[in-house]
Amino acid sequence: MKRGNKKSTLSSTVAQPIPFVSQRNVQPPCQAACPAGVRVRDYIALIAQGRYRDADSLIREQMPFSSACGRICCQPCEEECNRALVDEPVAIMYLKRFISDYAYQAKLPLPNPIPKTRAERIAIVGAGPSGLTAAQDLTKLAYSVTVFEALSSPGGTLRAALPLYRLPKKLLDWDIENILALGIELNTNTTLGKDFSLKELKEEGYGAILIATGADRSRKLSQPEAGIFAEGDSSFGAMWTVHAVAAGHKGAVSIDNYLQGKSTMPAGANHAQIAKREKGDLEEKVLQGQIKPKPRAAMPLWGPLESIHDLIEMESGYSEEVALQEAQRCLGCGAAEILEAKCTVCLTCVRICPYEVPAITSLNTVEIRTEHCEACGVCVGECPARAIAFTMPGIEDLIPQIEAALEAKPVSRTKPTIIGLYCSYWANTGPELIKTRFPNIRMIPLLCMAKVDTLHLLKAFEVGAHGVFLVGCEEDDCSYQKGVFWARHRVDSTKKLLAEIGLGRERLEIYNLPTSALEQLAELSTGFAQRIKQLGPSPLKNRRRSNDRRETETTV
Amino acid sequence: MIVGKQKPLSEIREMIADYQKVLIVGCGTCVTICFAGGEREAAILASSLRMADKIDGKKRVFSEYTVKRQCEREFLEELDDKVKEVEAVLSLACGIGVQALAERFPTTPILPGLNTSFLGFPDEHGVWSETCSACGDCILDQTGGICPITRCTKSLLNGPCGGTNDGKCEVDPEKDCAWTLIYQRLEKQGKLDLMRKYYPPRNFQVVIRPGKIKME
Repeated sequence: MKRGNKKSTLSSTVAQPIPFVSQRNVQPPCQAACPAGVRVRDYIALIAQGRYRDADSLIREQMPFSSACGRICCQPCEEECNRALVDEPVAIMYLKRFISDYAYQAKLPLPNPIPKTRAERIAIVGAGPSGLTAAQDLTKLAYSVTVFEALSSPGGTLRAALPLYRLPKKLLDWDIENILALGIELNTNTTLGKDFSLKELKEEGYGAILIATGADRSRKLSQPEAGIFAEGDSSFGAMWTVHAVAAGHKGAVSIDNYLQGKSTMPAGANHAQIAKREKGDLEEKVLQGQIKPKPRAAMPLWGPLESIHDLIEMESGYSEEVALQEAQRCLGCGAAEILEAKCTVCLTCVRICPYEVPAITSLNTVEIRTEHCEACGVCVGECPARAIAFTMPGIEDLIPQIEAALEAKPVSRTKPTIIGLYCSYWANTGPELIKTRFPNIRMIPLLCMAKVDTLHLLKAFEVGAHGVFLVGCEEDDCSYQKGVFWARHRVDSTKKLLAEIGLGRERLEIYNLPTSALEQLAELSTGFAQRIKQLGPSPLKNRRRSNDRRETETTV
Repeated sequence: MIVGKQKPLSEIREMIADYQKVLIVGCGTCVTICFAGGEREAAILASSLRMADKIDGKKRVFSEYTVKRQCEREFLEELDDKVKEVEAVLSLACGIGVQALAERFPTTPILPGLNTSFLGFPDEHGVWSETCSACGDCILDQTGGICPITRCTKSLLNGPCGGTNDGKCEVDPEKDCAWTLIYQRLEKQGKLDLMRKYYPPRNFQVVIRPGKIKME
């Protein structure tokens, strides 16, 4: 199963997932609790927006065995989930499974191979969760990595010991295919001590060796030796997959440090502030109707006959509708953060936050009291110094989404491309209807309209939209306190700017509709598309050559 | 703080008409706070100018950078390399910042992107009122902490005039009559006798312009 260089036919034609990198000082408790450091809140936010491909890619950065970990995990993340203070923790593991199942069923393109720009070669002994995680990390750091596996297929305990009804083999294969696609060489049926020795590996020029052979068939390294590292079960005994993956990450850091001549010890415990919520505050918000209790979605089961007959797992996994609703239970803990170097203490956030989260400290600075923050994003779009970071996907990666949406070819010359920004809380799966009926309207999800600011709207026109509309909840239905108010305010001021610029205010619109009123949106979309057509192509797209008097066609 | 308001886009475009490369410099203090010239406003202006240019078939380069305070020479050093690259600088600072930039970069035209409006403070989010005229001869101790020079439309020292109307000004019924406010404040303090004080015509020589202060 040497598929390291297998090229997906899709990868060249389908755009890459939108990367999301923002990570700063405050960590949500779910992520802090995860031994592998999986960015739980962030992938849940991506699911809540229907951005499954981005979610899959984000999960696999820290959890390459996403299908396995979506089924069998000790779930320390859920133990720490703040949503439990409202009702029940978010079903994080089931959501992870939903994404890996989706990725498998949709046959998402495999990642592209990473160019190997570093000279050092690394040998990893053992193709279990720990070894392959280290292989993935080191490959992403541009090293050449070769994995040696004693058995005929990779996967370690996950393949050897788990029954099919716990983890279907095709899904494990899919996880491994995603890892190997990065450009990792795998040698199966190659046993340490029988087919090769550590000495031979060193002689062959491997600059570092990681022993990740698993507890069942390894000896403990008696003596530390330069360039040889032991991680995972081989050094600590049996553990959960998530711990094995965590050990793989550590092994990779140790090896990278060693090869770069740094201390081989991975950096100590991270000192991030953990965004714990206050029970009293949440209870108060529930009482005031600001947060609506909503039970955790149960995992549906296959019928007994289906399950026994096909020897498949008993749990069937969430449907898309259920997954979206479950993901939208996430409280988005610790999403907003002040960038102190930029903050001018203007107090805008203190004045406008609908939840009174930012506060003046005894040092006369402003702090965002994460224990109260609802992640509405209102402050981010107003801060005149741009000194508030929003570390959850949905704001900082909005412009790349708009750009990606406009990169796709226009439907026709007579149908100008329109960007439709929709609130996922307002209608989650529904906008498919718009996509189908109006292929020239590119729908982009938001977790509340208040995540959009003037700069996003201007940028959409700058990169080629002929028209832009926002659609979301009516004021009383807003998931947050003032989301609709601020969205309308920003649209109003952007319209004035558009008029001054010469684009015209009619190219931008905002619709506040009853929840999931898709037919109404379809009608409004027809009207808006007609309006944009009548206005003609965006003047940004229809420049006339000074020496050519003929009307040039739109060059979208 | 100093309150300013960005000039209309059309005026800014006229100002920069002759230049192909323009650096927009925001200021991170007063004009950030009043949403006229901070980092966000600089980015919005740059985007607006790029689009307006494209509509006109022009291809100019707009870069943007925001310094902590344009009115401090030390904070301007970081602009040295950036200014070299451009033909003109559009400053989004108050008039003080514009002049500080012009002093540091004497060979580059420094253009004001906003009008410095007044000294004041926010009444609420997005609303600012002028409260001080920097006259150099403060009498706030006599007037209940309300400046008649600034807040009375007529700058009367011996008010109110006959035009006070239910606490509003006859010149602009939207505005409070400063002398009514002074009366009410002094009443609360039990110092209404201060209303009887006669102020002789103001001595405008107290502060000779341009002002200069030396720490002693």
